[in-house]
Amino acid sequence: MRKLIIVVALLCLSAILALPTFAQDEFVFGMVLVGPKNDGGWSQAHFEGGVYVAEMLDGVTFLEPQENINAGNPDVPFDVAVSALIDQGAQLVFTASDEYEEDTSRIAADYPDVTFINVSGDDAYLGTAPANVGNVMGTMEWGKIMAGCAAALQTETGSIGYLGPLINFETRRLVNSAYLGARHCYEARGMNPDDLVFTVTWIGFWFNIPGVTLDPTEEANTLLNNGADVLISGIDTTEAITVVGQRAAQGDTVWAVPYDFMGACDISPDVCLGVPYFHWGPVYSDLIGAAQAGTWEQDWLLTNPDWSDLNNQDTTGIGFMTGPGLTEENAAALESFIADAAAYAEENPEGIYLWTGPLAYQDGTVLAEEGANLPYIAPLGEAPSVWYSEQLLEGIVGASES
Amino acid sequence: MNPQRLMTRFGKALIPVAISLLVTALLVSLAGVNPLNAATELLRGSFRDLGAFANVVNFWIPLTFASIGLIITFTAGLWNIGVDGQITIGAIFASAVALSWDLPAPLLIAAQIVAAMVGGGLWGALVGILKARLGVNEIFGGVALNQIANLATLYMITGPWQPPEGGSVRSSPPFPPEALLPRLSDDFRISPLMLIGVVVALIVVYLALRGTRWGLQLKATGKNPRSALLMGVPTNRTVITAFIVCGMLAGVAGAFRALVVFQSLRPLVSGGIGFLAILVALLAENRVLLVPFITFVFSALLGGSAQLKVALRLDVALVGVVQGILVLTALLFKGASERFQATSSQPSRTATRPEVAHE
Amino acid sequence: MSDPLISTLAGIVTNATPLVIAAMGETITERAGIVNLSLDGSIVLSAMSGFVVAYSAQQILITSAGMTAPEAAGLSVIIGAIGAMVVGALVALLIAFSSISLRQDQVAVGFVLTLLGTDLAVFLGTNYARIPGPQILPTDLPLLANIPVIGEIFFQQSGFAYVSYLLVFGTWWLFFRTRQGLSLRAVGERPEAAFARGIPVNRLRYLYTALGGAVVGLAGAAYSLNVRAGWTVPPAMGGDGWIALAIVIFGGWHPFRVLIGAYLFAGLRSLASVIQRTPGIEINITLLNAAPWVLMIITLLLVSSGALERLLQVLPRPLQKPLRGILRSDPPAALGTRFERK
Repeated sequence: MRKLIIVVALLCLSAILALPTFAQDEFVFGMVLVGPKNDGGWSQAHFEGGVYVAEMLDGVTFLEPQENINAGNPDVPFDVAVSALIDQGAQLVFTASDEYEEDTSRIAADYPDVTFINVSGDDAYLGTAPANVGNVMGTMEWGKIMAGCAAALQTETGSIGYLGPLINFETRRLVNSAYLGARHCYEARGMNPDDLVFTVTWIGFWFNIPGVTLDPTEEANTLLNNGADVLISGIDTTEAITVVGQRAAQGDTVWAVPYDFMGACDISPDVCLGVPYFHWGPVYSDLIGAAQAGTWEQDWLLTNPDWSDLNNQDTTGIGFMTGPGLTEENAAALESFIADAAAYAEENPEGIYLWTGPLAYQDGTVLAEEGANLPYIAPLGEAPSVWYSEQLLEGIVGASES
Repeated sequence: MNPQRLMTRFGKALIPVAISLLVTALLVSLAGVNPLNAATELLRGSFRDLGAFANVVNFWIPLTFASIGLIITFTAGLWNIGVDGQITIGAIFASAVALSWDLPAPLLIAAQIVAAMVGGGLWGALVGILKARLGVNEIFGGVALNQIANLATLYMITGPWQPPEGGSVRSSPPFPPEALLPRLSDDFRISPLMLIGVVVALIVVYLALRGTRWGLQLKATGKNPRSALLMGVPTNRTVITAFIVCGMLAGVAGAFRALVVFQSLRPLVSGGIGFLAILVALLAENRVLLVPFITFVFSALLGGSAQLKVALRLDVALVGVVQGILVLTALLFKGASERFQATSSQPSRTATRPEVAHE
Repeated sequence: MSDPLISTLAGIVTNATPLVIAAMGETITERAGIVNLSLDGSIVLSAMSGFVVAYSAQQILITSAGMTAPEAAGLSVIIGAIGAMVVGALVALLIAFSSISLRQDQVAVGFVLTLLGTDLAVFLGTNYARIPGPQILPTDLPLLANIPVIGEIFFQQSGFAYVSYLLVFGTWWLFFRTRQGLSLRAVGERPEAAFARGIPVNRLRYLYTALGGAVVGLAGAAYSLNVRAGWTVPPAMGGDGWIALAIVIFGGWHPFRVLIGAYLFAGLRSLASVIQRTPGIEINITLLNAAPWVLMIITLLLVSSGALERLLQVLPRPLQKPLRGILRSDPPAALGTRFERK
């Protein structure tokens, strides 16, 4: 017994001494992810962004990310994950989910020397975050209008299904953007946009939590059973394209538009119309470069598509990778749509293409009069904006509030 | 108890521990990690510094509350799988008070804990009434009520307690500072109030089971409800009160999770502590005084699990595997040794349960 | 796909298939007097194992037999399903061993295995989560698939669904039309009497626990190789084991009623998404997700308490008796109790 105690004590001691250390001049950063780093979606896009930074910048170390830190996994709380990264020497921590917004601001106060970047929050915009917290988000609205357009170009049944996560401002504005893109391109095909059926099913969270959310596999099938032949994914994981691939293999004519991660089409290339994706590498490089040089300042940062070269891996923040499932003719139509969007973006840096009046919410509330451009963001309650989408748009089938 | 019996008992406890460690080591090696590394990281995660140790204590307190509650229902022969839901409802009730009542700190804290006990007790009573009056098996009633409690949490977060900026499922608004329990120090963030609470609960439940009429009724009901009824024990009432008291203790555990661990209401707020508590109660075999030790080991494992994940990328499920295998081998070993004794010498079944003599 | 209503109903049959299979396995086990409470963990563990085995089999078939992925898929799924059944049977055997041979509480061991099965599956299966693997696709049954409505709902399904129909019918046949079934039921109802008639009670209990466990394992395979399209962490089939256990009670340990119970639960679940898409109905989505659990309590309340009997009393007398025969049922009398040779 005594021997055992000595062995255990020695082991403890050696473990404490073996704390990892890095050379003084290395800049260390880490990230907290909601899902696994290989989820084929949201979390993987962030992970690849970190890998990009580690390759591009000298003297930078990217720690193994903290994966699966989420409500479904309460054994490892957010605070423990963050302090583990800081113990390993992290000087900058990306907290890559809106789920972490409040926790990030809270914990940042305990670590004033560490820079925190919360992805998709708006505490820095609202001025409620400590000085060492910044926000970054991509203008995925652009990606989603392209997703909606691709779906509307290809649909044969005139019915599109959208697999939504939970309901909030972000998810509503993304659904709305996809719908606007779909209407526009359906009309461009010579069809009546009012005939387009656009149905949203919310599963209740960013990904499946058994017993708590609806099952995304089941819901994807249900949307297809109800007549949709294109599924647009709005959730973090890949169920939509997996199900569509399965249905196509049994002979159904169906397609999918996955989400978040550039490589998401690979799961089932033949049914993939394309994927709107976040490309975090360039903006992460800028942020880390600034932090390394000591010039970083609190900011609410938006990353945009590089309109001169949408899929340029060194410059774009939001991209759209066309999938093998899109017909050549439709791919050409999508390309000319993207050119129109680019032209609009040049002229209206404050707005998003197609978010132009007349626009109305589901309950009939007018959002923008004929010809008026909606601003991207404006303080909530003072003026309507794309960012604070309070309802789904008129014409969408689905719930606006949970 | 003489030293020799103590030794054999100790030896008996050690064999399942050794077996489960061996199996775990094998699994860890399968995952490509040196088991010794895993063990050191685990210990480092739990005991590295005061902060890490406080984390262990913060698992230990709610787990112990729930486990001693379960000793009560187990004594009455009841499978209170619904304990996890009772923790959750306790957390919701405590949050309701924290978010809506405007009281000075001491009163607010007292009100929160009382509310949590009421909530947990009600949820427990529901299982008890379903079981005793309506014949619904407590296991299934409990499982369903657990899920409903989880969904109720989500409903409160996405509905009535929506943060001002709207639509999110991450948490309720953070509780006001008056609602939070005072901490021992900034380095050692544990709540002395709750620590005292656990000790008091341990003593009270120990005494209640040992020396009160209610304790005897619980035991009689647990042994054989039919003959207990014939002996004049109001078994239905005993069953329901057992669930209520267990629910109240679980409710305090829930209040702790919300008020101390998260400082807001979260989805899946219990963190599965109720299920762990069932494993603890199975290991303790209705002996209240063993509970704090078992829960301490479990909490140290939980506290270290995050470190395993962080340092060695071992999934936290590993800790669940260790705990599960430990309880399973303990049950199997107990069966095997009883079997062995039964064949080698005539069994004296009453000897292991001296309390029967009191009845 | 044709009419949305028909395809929704067909979807319900698809989604209910693993529930039907799992509940049928448990029905067999419980009819023999043993409770396999570990269903939720068994299903998850066998779903993981089934997927991993099928995935590995496919890789081997591709590299060594030179098959293409689609060619290898069918055989791989069958191998995976067998793997899952072995795992399910092993878990069940552990329960049989500890309760019959070691005289431990079935519920205790079953509960521990519930938690252990899930954690073990997550730990061992992390590296296989969310990778594309072999899946079984629906195939129309010749002739039957062409029947209007019925054919579209029931006979344009995957192999697992067809197996589930056979299983339900086969279980019924075994229980009520064979000598083995008579012994099986005797062991679960009156083991002493059965033993006196020379039936090896504990040997049969071992056998049917293992058989039932293998069927439960098949349900796991039905999730990961068909209905839930692969293996994910957290396991997408978590929680369904408990529903399957409740369905056995709801179904009164009778194969046909268990089948109806499974379809009912699956139908209710799909209602949650139907209502969401129906304009004009404003119900909180989270509350809708609670519906299956509320239904679980209500159905158990109906079958366990006197409520059903009181309900029957209201009906005209000639209706009472046949209805009671259909609706009421008691658990196997010796369910969960030990049998020891005196």
